[in-house]
Amino acid sequence: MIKYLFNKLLFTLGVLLSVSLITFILSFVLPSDPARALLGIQADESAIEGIRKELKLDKPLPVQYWEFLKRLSRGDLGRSYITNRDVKSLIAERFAATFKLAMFAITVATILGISVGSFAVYTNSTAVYKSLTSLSVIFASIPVFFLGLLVSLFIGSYLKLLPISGYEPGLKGIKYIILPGITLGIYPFALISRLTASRLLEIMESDYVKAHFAMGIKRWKIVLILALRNAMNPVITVIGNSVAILLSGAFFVEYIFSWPGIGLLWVDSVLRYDFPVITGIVMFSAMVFVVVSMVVDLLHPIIDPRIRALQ
Amino acid sequence: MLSKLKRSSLPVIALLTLLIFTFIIGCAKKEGSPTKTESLSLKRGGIFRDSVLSSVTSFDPVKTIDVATLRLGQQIYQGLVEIDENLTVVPLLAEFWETPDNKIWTFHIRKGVKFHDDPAFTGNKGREITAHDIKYSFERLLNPGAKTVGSWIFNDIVNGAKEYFDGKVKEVAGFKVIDDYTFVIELIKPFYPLLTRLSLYLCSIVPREGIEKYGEEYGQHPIGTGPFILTKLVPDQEIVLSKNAHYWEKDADGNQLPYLDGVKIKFIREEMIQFKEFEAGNLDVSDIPTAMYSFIIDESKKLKGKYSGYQLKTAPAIEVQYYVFILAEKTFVTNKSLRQAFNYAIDKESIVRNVLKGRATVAKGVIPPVLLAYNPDLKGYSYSIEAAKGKLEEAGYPDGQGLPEFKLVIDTGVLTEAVATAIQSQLLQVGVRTKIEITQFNTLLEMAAKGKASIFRLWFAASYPEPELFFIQFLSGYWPPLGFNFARYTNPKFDDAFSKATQTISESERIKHYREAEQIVVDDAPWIFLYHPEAAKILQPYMRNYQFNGLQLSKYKYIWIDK
Amino acid sequence: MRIFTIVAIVFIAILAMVSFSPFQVTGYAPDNISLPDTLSSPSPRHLFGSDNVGRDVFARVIYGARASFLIAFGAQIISFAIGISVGVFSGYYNNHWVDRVCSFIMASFHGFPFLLFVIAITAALGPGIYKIMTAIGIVNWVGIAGVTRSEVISHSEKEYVITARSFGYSNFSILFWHILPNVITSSLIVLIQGFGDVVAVEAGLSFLGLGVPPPTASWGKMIFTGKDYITTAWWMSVLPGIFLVMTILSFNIIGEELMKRWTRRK
Repeated sequence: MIKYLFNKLLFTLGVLLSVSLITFILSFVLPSDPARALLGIQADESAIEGIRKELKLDKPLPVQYWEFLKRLSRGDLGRSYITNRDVKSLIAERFAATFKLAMFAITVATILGISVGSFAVYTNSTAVYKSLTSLSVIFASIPVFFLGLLVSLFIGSYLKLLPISGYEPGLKGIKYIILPGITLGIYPFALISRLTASRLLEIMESDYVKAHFAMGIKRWKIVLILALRNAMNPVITVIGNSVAILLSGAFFVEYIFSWPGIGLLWVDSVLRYDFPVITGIVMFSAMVFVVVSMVVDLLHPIIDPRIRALQ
Repeated sequence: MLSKLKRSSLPVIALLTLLIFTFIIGCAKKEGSPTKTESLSLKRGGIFRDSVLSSVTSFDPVKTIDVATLRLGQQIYQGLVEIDENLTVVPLLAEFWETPDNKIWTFHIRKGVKFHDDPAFTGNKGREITAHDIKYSFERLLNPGAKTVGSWIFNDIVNGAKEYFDGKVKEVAGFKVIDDYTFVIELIKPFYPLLTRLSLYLCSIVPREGIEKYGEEYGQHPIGTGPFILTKLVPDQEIVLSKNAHYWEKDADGNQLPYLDGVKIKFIREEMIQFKEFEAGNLDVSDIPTAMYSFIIDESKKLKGKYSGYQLKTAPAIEVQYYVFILAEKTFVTNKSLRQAFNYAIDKESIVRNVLKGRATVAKGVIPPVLLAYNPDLKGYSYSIEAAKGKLEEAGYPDGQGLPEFKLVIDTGVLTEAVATAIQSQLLQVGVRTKIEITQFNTLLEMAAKGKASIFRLWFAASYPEPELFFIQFLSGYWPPLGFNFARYTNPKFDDAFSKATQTISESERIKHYREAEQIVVDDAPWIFLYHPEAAKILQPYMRNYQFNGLQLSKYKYIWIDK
Repeated sequence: MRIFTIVAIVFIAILAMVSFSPFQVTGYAPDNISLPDTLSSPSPRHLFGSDNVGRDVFARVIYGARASFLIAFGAQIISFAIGISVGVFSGYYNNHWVDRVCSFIMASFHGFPFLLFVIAITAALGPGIYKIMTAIGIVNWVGIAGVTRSEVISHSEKEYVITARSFGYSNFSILFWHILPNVITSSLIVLIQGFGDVVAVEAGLSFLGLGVPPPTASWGKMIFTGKDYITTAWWMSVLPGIFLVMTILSFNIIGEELMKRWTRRK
């Protein structure tokens, strides 16, 4: 067990190191001069030289990489070239915003998805089932940015029901999260409702359930209590998958609704060559992913007794 | 590992992700924003709700020059002079001044002007401004250690500035403090635009105590003498200004300025979103997106339809939009006829009318019509396919044969792209093939500075109303990376006419020299001269006294809300 | 659902054919600007209206299909090539260092949000149809590789493979002639289901300004340009958007039908 953990740790460090190297190299491949970017075009040569010295850009590459690693180990991700804000808190703030949005979207999508899916089966009518499934397929085919545009246009501008941009932390901010949340949630909603409906249908056909029918138990009880529980397994998988999709797809929604999340930060920094932020986000994502998968690997034997036996 | 992940552990991952992220977020130190006071209740004054389209990160006047920061920074800081709605220089911190020869300038500083209250001062109370502060602020502008972007303002013209900038002397000889309220600037030679340069945000007066106390963070804790104080700065979200209770200025009737209690500025990424927020009543003023222009404003420049209830303010921008030929590229450098051919081939009238929907005026040359030096009789290039074809032949490329495909580099933007597409198509009509490349603006500047393609889209918006700034782009000594003569143009006749202009004291003589210089440049055609845009703002019906000039700056101190 | 599948196939087929010759169909070349004719609403003259430089929107919508299809096919072919190779090798040489390395790479790609990755690469490479194709292709192969790998692993243990090996067949021929044909169907399914995704991604990139350069038409680009005019000239954005949705929908329907048929066979 200890050996296993140790290997995992090494693996993790390996991944982090290679990611840091790649990002570092990237900053030299992309066509930009950070010193000039910081000061703007009208700056004169000596001011730029001054910045270069300060950022240690005049030292050879391996030295710069070493400095970079040293800072990283202290947890110092530097300051943004563009806004001069501390990268660490910037990422934390932005990620919190994206996270909120994603959680809202997935919650709405799950609740509505499961309800609608169950309803489709409950009504026992082919017409309802077919139309609901068709609608889901159509919804799943609308690219999220186009959907966001339409939603923003109709509900935001035409009907003026909800604000189309802005952000406020805390509970007061709930009116800002609704439109982007719905936009983001439609795709997972489509997937979840469809999957729930089809799985439920399968289960409803099983002997186990048919027996309960014979016993005279009401249909809605069967659907809700019996069948649903069995149907959940693949649905949970989809939900899990969706979380990953949301965290990255949230970008378009963030763009259209000016939601200050991490996807937007990423694109802004990539387009403006804001390397400290770019590096920060990459390292952050890599670290998160690695940590999560490491923990999952550890938990796996606990959750699934079969694997424990194998070990 | 991958397949295992895919099947059963994703729900676990999701849950764990939740936990871990909560942990990480909780542990990272939240960078707080400096909050001095938090009382913004709606009193008699009210709160003015504005927006910026780019993020404002620092209010250190020597460090930033973007439009958004300028506009807001000028509510916090002040300089010796300012520019009013009619584009004339008027006194501000300097009560009056005199100069016998445009070389030695004596400024008399207003008495009783206090800096904002701040912990940097003893007793937390702002102290009175003196001539020493002027010297300090100006020298800071020349100090490479302060990472300033404004050294060009004084570097070539003030006595001793260059030596100070190069680190050879400890102070600038040309900045003289005679007494607490008298400040003298000594120039190397006569230079009349000095006054207008002093109106720039870069020349704002800052207190030594603030810089010393806050150091790198000073940009987030600005201390000025202006009508508003910064109370909140979250760069990608919102900025809040509140009224300076001790502001020195009064209006013509003796009322204390400013009238407003405060200003709330939202960061909005897109023109359209800004406009929609305005329509929804969440903003008090907004720019007018060009896409909406013809639907909001009719031919007589009045608001129409459902917008007629709002107010409109327009001002021709002191700006010229152009495409620059990189003259280092061999096809262009000696071939004047070729460049002229390009200019003849473009139907600027049509572009302005149809693509820009009349929101600009065609540019025959460089100077916009709003400046005095504008020459209505300037010989430019009116649209003519025959003339273009003729010039092409003269250039040695009849019907465009033998010409390579030119790379036309532009930055992102619906309008920019539309104009570029129109130009591409018009050039094709005379046989010139181009390929459009879209890139980020910063990259475009880099590429232009390094001469990496043939034609770039650029524009120049003056920060003060003087033709001099426009012409610097053609001076021989100003090639990149030192200056912004991107075309790498050089013509000693032009340099001559220009220096005559800046050194002449008589205004009419000066204008003559400027016009001469402009004609030289237009003849040489280092640019495709395009248009001078017009700026417009739409206001809620209850806004009063919103001043707006061609520099796109406005003074919030005069605004009041009629609700 | 059979009807829908047929409709989907017909739609894609017609669109593909027509997209290579928009002039014949509409009478307008998609790049012809006409400055006096900007922003005109749909009419018999311009079926879908005209855009902000006077180009016929209908012609551009059809021509835009070409860019979307090209990029989708191109990207998927690249993904397929990389994905199959990596998947097969790492699956066959399971527990070998080859597999470790490949899994490692796949894991790192998997962890990083797909879209953000593509954005970064496109920003670095620059604009252009082939560059975008490559950018999407080199990020998207992971799904195919994963599926292929697990299939190969499960097949490697099958009897016929062990038999073949004992007969002295080389590893390569086993891989190529025996395992590959069995495994290819699942990857093809992923491939086809991915078309819709790639079209959406390309549209998204264009939406950000990172897509095909002007004057080439692409749906994402048109939606992006048109979004500023959405209250005043809605046809610029909405019509290409509808075609985009229909195309993605068609690909999804076709992909699902294929999945139903091919998995049933197994």
